Amino acid sequence: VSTEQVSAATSGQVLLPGGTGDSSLVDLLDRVIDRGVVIQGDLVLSVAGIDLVHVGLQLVLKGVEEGDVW
Amino acid sequence: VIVLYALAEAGRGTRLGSLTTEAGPLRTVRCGTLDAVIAEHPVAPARTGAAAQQHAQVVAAITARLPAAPVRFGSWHADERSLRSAVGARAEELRARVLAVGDAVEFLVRPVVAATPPAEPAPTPTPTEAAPAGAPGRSYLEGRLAQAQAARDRERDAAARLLAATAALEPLAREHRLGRGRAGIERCFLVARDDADRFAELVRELTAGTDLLAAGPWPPFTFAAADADPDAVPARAERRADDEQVRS
Repeated sequence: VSTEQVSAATSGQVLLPGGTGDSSLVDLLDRVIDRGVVIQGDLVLSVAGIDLVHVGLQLVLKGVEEGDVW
Repeated sequence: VIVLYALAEAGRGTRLGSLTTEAGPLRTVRCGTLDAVIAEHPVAPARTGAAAQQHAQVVAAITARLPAAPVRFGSWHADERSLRSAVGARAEELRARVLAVGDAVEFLVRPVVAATPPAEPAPTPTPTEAAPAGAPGRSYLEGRLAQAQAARDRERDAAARLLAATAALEPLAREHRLGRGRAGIERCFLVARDDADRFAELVRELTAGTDLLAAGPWPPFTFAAADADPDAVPARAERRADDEQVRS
């Protein structure tokens, strides 16, 4: 049985030249980090009920918005 | 560490085939009426944009093979028991989302934003008739209020233009939503996977030569959050209200 490695080619595409680069990356990360079905895992680092994983990712997204290299 | 990527109807997981991630092969865990699509990682994924992007790629590969609802990045479980517990507790609600979005993809249309606009300088306190010299705080606050109102007006205008420009896409979409993403005002469309090519072609025609950016097809992250979980999509009620308000 052969295996198929997940690749970037299957992650969707941008339709227009205006959507190349970081602009569309922000849109994609916005979805992956902020949307989708939420299933709270038990391996979540949190303080006072605040999900620190999510907080960290919000900062990553902020960096992408502002053009930081990551 | 069990990393959860997507949820499908029970029994559909056989369509995964031998798809594998960098961490290992994907497989399913039966959670009542649902199959949870997971991979076992040696450690929890890094909290980085690259890891989130990899999550998106895996979810896209899964949803291309079987009807499934995408799960937000960060659902990590110690073992199958805890995963079954987390999914099983909301099985019916989650199954409804799988049925609603599982065979569909998401497209995005929004105005192109060249760069993050610089923040407007705070208004300089100046004496006014209503706030004479000696009461600079009042004029400052009035200035801030005017700035906020102007920003709301600009966004409302942008939303109205976006709605008008994309109205022709509505008949091909199963659901559509006006909202505010990281890059500003946006319109998302949930489209049956079978109609995705036709929808993409129409989007290209509509947005050619305009200042609109179109992207997709992506897994339907925007539409996958359950209605009963308002925190999953921030300001969702506000977005719907905006949609209706702009139309009226």
